[in-house]
Amino acid sequence: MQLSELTLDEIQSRILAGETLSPEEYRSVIERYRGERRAAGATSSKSRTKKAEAASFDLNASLDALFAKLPTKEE
Amino acid sequence: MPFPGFFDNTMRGTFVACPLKFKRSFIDNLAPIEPSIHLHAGGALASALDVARKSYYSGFATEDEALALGATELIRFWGDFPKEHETKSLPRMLEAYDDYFREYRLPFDTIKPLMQDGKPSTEFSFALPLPIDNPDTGEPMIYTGRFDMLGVFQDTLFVVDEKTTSQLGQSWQQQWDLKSQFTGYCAAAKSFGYPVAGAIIRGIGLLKSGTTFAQVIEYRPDWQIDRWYEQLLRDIKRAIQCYQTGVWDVALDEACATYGGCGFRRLCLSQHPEQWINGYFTERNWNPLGKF
Repeated sequence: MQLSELTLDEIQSRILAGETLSPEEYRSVIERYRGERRAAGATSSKSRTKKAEAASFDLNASLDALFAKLPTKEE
Repeated sequence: MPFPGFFDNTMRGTFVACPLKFKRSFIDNLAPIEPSIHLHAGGALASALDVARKSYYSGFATEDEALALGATELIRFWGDFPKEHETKSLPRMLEAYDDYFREYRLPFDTIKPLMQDGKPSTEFSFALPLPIDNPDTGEPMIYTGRFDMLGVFQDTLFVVDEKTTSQLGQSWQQQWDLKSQFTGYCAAAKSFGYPVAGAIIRGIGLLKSGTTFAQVIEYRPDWQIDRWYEQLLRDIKRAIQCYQTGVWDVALDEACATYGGCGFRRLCLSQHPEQWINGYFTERNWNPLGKF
């Protein structure tokens, strides 16, 4: 199996055993990490949006509850 | 414990900031057990950049081969250190390394290492004897250090050093004009016959969103070097005086809180600091010429 197909832990143990990354393996490893990080960034951004929406919803619900408790003109 | 036979910029800076911290670090040879991810990540990146540059400029490797060799060195250097950290994990440092050579491609970098006998002048180490005797051995004290490269920029010779940081802004750019670290590097280079005009500091900003770069050029005229040298001698003499009298002043101010807090805070907060040494601190012999 080529170094570029391995996990980082596997790559590292082979490098510590004396292997060297070839230019192709290096490029492949780097591109893989860049892709993983972009994907992780997108996930975390989606998660932040969902949290913000949830927070906004909670705030609206709280305000509705608060207004419901306020005395009306008729009262 | 004996007084060290050498001084470097870290030791001088530590002594000036807090003499007691100097004693704990360089006389008692103590260091917090918890290793610093910042130092390790910076060291791994510096070592990788050095391998790539050496391989390429010595004609041993093509650009692509040099990049692969440097990345191999980064992974090897990382060793057993934990890989997870928001901005300084192993994958993140590999990406920053790759970003660096996209920003400063080896064939087109405007700063080239000085070539001597076909070898690039990277990893410049020095040891300068000083006119102060070690209080234990009577031997001359030595001033030591290491910087990344003796570089040529626009036909002028400069000390070149890379710094990783979490933020590259105006305050980052403005912090170098008086830094003794670079004045000492220039003094050392000049004393070995290299007429450097100053230092170029390349900043590598390790952000969550990516890597940013900045570069500053700092000049060091001879009068600044002379002032630095006289100050260095006075500081070392004061450190020797503290050692001989056994009285070490303690800062109790900014030095206790900067960079996330001094590593010896736990000791200074206790009436009986010796009780905290076992379990929280380990013995560490400072070696300023050790590889990164």
